[in-house]
Amino acid sequence: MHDFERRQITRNDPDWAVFRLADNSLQIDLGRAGLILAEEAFRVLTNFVTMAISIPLRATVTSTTTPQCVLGYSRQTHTLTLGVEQTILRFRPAEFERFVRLCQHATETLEAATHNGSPAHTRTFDRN
Amino acid sequence: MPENQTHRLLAMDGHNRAIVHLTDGNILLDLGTVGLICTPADFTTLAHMIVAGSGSYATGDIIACAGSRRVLYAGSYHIIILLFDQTMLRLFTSEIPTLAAMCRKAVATLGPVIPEPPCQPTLPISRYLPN
Repeated sequence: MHDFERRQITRNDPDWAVFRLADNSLQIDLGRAGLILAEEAFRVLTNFVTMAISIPLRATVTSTTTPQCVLGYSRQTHTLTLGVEQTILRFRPAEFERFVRLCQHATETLEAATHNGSPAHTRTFDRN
Repeated sequence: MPENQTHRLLAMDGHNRAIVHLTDGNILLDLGTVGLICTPADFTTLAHMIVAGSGSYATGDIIACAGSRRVLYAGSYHIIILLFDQTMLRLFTSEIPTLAAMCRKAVATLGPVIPEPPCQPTLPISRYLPN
């Protein structure tokens, strides 16, 4: 039984955060847009973006996982487009790095909470 | 849709927002920094929800609802919150009329629609408010 609507897992920007919702799903909140995923799907996404950020920008990276993830780069607009199933998110390269760190930090927090056997505590870290 | 066809622009507003019929048959609602891809039937539902968002409402209202898909109004932030499966979009109320007009145009181009029946759910808006 949950007694909260939304609990912050991590945050690295005034508008960017990851929350645990009362139904146990995770909300990646980027201000104007957000993604709501099951925890396993969130881990898949974190693994994908962690892998994808290590690949040169000109390549398009596609996963065969569920949820399916795609990352592409437009030289024309110098933006990265991340597709997660039906959702499209566009980032400038520096923003995408921050997004990856947000996901990684949330995953670390969730794993630490799993090992401790307690709900994830609120953690905040610098965007840089 | 045959693969040799290119995507088709259904509507645009000149501010990086567009509605595009993709070559795989799906519809892309492209709002610039964020987008949503759905089937034509789902897009029709989405369009009706956005159009409903251009009406009058009170804070905390569920403006439109189709299954788990909802449009909520957060008056203190002057935003509309659109929940569509895993995607959450926050739109300023001032953006809605233009977006609704784009949706109407796109739906008209796509053809007849079969909207999902309305429902009366209770949903806490607090979890979707800005940080």
